[in-house]
Amino acid sequence: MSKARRLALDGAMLCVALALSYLESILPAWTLVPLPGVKPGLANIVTVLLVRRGYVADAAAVSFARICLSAMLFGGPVSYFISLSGGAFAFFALCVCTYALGKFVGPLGTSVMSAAAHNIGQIFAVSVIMSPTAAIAYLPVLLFASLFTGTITGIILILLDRVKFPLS
Amino acid sequence: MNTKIYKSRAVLPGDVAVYIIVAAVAVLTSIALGTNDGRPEYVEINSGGQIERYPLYEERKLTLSNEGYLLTLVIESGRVWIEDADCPDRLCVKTGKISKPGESIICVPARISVRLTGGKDDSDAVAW
Repeated sequence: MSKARRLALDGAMLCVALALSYLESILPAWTLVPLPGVKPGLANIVTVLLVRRGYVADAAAVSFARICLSAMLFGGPVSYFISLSGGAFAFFALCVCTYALGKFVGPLGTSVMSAAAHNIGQIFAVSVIMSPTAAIAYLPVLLFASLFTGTITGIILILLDRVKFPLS
Repeated sequence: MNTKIYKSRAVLPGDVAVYIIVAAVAVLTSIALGTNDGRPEYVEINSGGQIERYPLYEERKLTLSNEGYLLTLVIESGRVWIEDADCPDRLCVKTGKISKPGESIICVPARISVRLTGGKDDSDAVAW
């Protein structure tokens, strides 16, 4: 893939991820998940898709840029740090599931694991900047939520696996 | 570069394992945190590192301010909730009412956390 093509692909993917982030921020909380603070993680679909198609570095770059941009547009410095920690944990889990465990774990397991890691990463960040005891109290509920949100994004990924990539 | 399209079956055995593991960790942490039993006695408010305690069974309305945000906290008949907040996401308000030991309300932008202590979970440390 040429340099220009790769740049265009990553740019397009960043736009999709940012649009999905925005969609999540304007959707009423109860639309997909009836818990305060729990989001379906639609933007992560883009990251998972790129990693599963072999564009690991591109996925990391798109994910990082998306987190920076959405913090600038919809969040603040504290939420930026929390998102970044969640994003890094999720990306690590995603790479492990796709490359080390790819023969056993499919899209559903990958996105559930990634969602769980994202929530653990966020709790880790809240523990660091605020109170660990208060933050850890959220862990069970967020882990249960990740089973649900991971399933939603996993189903979307199964459907996307049947689609041929336009830029390869 | 590897651009192959994954055409594996939709559900693999490892997927089931992932669901079981995540659910098991959730159940175990919930048991370890002991949020479901005992009776809390205090409301512990951590406002940017400054910790204050109030008895849970005394009705009270507090205004908490930190990082330029204002939160209105209500303690009433053994339950605690944030009635109003001027932070952007208002997740602390949406969290609703808490009444069990170990339960907490966190407002990230204001760096304020509220936790119920006492009862069975008497220590400040989390038992793992």
